[in-house]
Amino acid sequence: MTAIHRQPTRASVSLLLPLLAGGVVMVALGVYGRAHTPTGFAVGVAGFSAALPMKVWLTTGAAALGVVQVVSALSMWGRLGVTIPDGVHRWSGRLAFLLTVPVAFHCLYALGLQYDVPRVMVHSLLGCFFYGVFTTKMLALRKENAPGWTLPVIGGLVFTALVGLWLTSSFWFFTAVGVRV
Amino acid sequence: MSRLGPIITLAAGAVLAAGLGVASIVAAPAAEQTAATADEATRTPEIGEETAAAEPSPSETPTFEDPAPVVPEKADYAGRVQGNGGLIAISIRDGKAIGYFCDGRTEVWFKGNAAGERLTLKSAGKDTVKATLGDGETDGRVSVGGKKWTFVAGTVKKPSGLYRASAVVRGAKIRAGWIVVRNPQGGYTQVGAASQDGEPVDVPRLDGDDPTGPVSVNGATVTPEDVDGFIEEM
Repeated sequence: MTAIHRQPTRASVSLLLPLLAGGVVMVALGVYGRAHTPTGFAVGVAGFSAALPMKVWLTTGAAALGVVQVVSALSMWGRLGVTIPDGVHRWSGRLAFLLTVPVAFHCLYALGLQYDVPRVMVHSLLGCFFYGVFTTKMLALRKENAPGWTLPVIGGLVFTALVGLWLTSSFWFFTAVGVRV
Repeated sequence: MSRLGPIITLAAGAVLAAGLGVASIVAAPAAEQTAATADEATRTPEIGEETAAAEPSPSETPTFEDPAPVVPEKADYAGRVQGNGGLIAISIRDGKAIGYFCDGRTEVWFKGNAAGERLTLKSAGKDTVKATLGDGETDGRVSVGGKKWTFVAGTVKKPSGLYRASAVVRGAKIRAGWIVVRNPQGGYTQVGAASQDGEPVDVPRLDGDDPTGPVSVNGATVTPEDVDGFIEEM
């Protein structure tokens, strides 16, 4: 927090653009999900019996990589006492992000943003939030004069959103439908 | 790391999403049209590219040269099983067909492919439905528990149709299925069955005007879903 007191103006100004861009992404996805007529069909990743199992497993993969993200981030900040190479954090994050794209694409293109059931509503809103806050995180990485808490807080929000998304989709599927490929 | 790394990551995600978008539009022109004119599609079966729409696989190339069978992209049928008193419902979505037979005691779910005007749907056991799609109706035979009956099922529109609820409540697996058919003179005929951990339990009546409203099965609140809501789970 000392960083804020020393440079209050520069710190907040440097985060303005990443936050604004994240907000734009979040709102744009939500508006698209609502305005676009869901097709009920979307091209996805081959090798699964149906679209839902594909999404369930890709999301589970991304969530597992999300755990790698948190652990490797703790190491970066010297909280583990073990040094994990920086590449692990970068590449597990990139892979996790790319795994979520076909899932979110199917959600928004084939199904749209929906409010009917609490689980679906929470999932829809969290999904938009996730990509917004992820955009903010990516852009904030480049702001070297941003306050020290920036990356842990935004990164924590990304991880929290991802876990929430996993709980409202994959975990729901495993318990309500069953474990299948 | 280059300072552009995070930007490249975001761009890669955007490019992947755009690629999926283009692939989906190319692979499913018929599905797109159906979504836009969903109401007409139920009544007017279109000549579509089911082979392309059936498999959401990026390697699948639509084969427009194939003689296209007359299968609607989306259709819902429901009707009475003759000589049995039960109801049967068949729904088709993008090349996939599901069926449900229920007479209040026995219930069987079926599934299969809708690749041509002749459908063969199978249950998890040995029960089958063989049906032929006609103009605004489908007729065929249903075989359950070694017995066979014929049926004629007309196209139906919401709130008539097939509904399913599936939930785990306090560790118990709740499953229920319903067929709702609007009577010509008003009101609804419906039949359904419910189970908890595989054991039959009393099935609640659905509200004919709002069949996807929550109902209580054996004390647990579940939300019935229409075919679009559950077909991908089958």
